[in-house]
Amino acid sequence: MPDDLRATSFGEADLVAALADVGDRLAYPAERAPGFDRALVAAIERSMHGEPPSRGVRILRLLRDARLRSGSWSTARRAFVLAVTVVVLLAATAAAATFAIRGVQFIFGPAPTGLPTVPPTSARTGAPTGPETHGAAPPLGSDLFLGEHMTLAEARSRLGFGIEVPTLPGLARPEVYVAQVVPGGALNLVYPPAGAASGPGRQGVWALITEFVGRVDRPFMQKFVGRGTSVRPMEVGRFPGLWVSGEPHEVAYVASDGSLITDSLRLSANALLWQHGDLTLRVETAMPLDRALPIARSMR
Amino acid sequence: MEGRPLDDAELIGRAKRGDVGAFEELVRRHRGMAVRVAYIATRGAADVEDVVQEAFVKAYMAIGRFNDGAPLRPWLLRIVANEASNTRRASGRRTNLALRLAAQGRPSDDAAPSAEAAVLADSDRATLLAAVNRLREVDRLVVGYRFMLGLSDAECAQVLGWPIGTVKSRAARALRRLRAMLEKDATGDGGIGTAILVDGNDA
Repeated sequence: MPDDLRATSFGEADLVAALADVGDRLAYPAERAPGFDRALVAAIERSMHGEPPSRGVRILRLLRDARLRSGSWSTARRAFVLAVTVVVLLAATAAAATFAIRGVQFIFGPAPTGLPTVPPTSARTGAPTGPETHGAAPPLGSDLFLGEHMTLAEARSRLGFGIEVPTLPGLARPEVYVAQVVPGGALNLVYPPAGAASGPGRQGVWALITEFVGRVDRPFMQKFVGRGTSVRPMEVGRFPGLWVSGEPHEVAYVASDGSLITDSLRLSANALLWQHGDLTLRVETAMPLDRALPIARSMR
Repeated sequence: MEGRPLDDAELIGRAKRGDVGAFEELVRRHRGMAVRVAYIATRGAADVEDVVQEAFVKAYMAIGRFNDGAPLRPWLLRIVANEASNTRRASGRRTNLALRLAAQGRPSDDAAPSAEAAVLADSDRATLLAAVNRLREVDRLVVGYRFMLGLSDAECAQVLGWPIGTVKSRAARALRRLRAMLEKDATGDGGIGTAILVDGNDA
């Protein structure tokens, strides 16, 4: 049989078998480091017994302690859900900070079924029919680890919840990304500067917006962020919120299936987050509060 | 431990009560797959050991939240995959990362490949892996977890945070894309596609 004919006729089972074969032969590090098990166990023991833990472990200890104090799983889970909100928020902020970007991030969330409404901003500005790439340059958010780049319509379909966007006049079209950092996914919107959105950072990113479902627990949040970070309770419109500013932090949450989500980030910007029904919305920005608030209040 | 080995559920119960030794046993049982998941998730980054280590420490801290009766492995692997994602995000984009074959071309752990799976010559494995490395992130992850590591659809769903149906559909699409790459390669030089067909049919 000629090679070209045979090459185009191999089956899925052959390919799956070949992938398993390759998967058994990858250069996994345990093979290079026979003492890996011992080192791993020793690291766990060190972390559990006295050595200064990483930021992630400190936070997890805080979460565990909070649960033990409260004796309530639901309280702890709310705390974790809140924490993951910060995870997503901080992820974008940290990335923005890395590139000295003025970033704003909102966090949206999976929502009830039903067709989402067309965001007012999209209607006014003419939402892009395909992923916005701003010409031949790479997408602005391509280095921010925000998930899969897609259109707003695709994101609506993928996430299955009503997407809110800022309706503040003068904003540019956002790049849209969907990340799987939380069950059900999270939406990220990257805004280039335009009109009212002045003061672009490097690479032209002005704002980063994310959303997922979550609950805000103010007292826990205030304990959670740690030293060097301040948390100021406030209102966003008629909704309860927090203005977070200060040092970088790591956050974590437990999803509804019990899985743990954590994120370790460096944060140099500020964050505004608030609760709107089942949604936790969040804005992270290098801008001051008086510039972040109008954006947050315009979310529809 | 008693005469018979404790199962995961028993070890989890002990770990929840603060028995680090019980958790260490769980680490020993699951670290192999954890390392593999981290390797896939980080695209072969040099800090896989750190990722797994940090993930297991966090898992220990969170073990009290583990739902009794649920399978432990996907819960652990989800933490590992998440930690790997965090590490990649924190370290920025590294374009030179790629999955690589072990130098000896031999299985790296105690899981010897089945006769059916041992279908490729080293050069063909390298070609196939190169194609996998060219897949986009989502495709590479689902191909890696589902087919290269052999996780179940349900495990992939938990590790990736996707519904099972999404895992199945994305895995199928990823396979089609991968096969298209291989067919293109094979058309060019009679490479991996041909090898898979011939050896696979002969197996």
